[in-house]
Amino acid sequence: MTSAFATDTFSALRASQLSTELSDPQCRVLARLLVLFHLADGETLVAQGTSDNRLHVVVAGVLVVVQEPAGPHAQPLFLLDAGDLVGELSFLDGASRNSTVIARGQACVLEVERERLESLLGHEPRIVYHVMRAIVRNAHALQRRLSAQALAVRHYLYQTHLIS
Amino acid sequence: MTDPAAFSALRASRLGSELTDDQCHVLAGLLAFRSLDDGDVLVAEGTSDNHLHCIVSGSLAVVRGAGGPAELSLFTLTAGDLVGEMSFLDATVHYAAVLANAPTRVFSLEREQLESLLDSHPQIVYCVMRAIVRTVHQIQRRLSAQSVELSNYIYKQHGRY
Repeated sequence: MTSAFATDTFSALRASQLSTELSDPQCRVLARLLVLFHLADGETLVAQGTSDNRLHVVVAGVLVVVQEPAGPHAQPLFLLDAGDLVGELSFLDGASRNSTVIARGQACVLEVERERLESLLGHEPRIVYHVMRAIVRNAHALQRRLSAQALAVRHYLYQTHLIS
Repeated sequence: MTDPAAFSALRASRLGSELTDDQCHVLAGLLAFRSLDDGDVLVAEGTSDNHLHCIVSGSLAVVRGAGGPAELSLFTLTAGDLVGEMSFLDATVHYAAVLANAPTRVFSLEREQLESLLDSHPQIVYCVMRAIVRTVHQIQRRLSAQSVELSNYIYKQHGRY
């Protein structure tokens, strides 16, 4: 498909959180192992209940995270945009995905396969280390966002109950 | 020769879950053990360091404004839980204090010590990082589930009234 997000793998990686700590030569090594692809509006990136060994990095566009049953009344858990990661646990352990991720409008993502990353452990261990650090940072940022969201919902509930 | 107690504690922890015995011996040699009495501070709010802590036994309270008029106890950590992942990675400031609320034993790993293994034992570093990601994700999943429950509650309430 044609896309407004035509770009090359190196540039997409360079602009992502995954490469924050990587030098350009390290970025080139890692970029050779990644796949860049595009999603159409409404296209599912990953489905709840499935598992694989792939991590996705949102390069451009917006993705919505929903819990099944998906559909017009499904409540989005949160939105992902450029720089966010998708599927860290499935990537690490083949864990079953606990939500579905769907493109809202056109989107562009980078895909990393676990075995490809691990193939660097012997000769480029620092690349693997920096990627793992980026994954921890991202998970922590999401954790903070969810905490703030839960707190806001609690405040709303308390206010509603106080008023009624 | 690695201290057998250090080896056993690491072996039983999340950090050691994917390590072979040989790898466990290497990493155990880099750990520092510490015993805390009830009320002792493991990390102070607003400080940062480069250590990751793992609870071997006992329990720790995560508290904001400890000792002040607006002291707020956030949650309790128990054996197996990790403390200070972001400070360990990036020297991020601790947003809350962590205090023992019972006699507690922890081991600590310094970032530079872990990084000293990158060339000789990259697999150990990788397995430790995997363990950290898993721990952070468990908390994230718990928060996601809470968020869904609260949203469902709100929508049901609106439907009913």
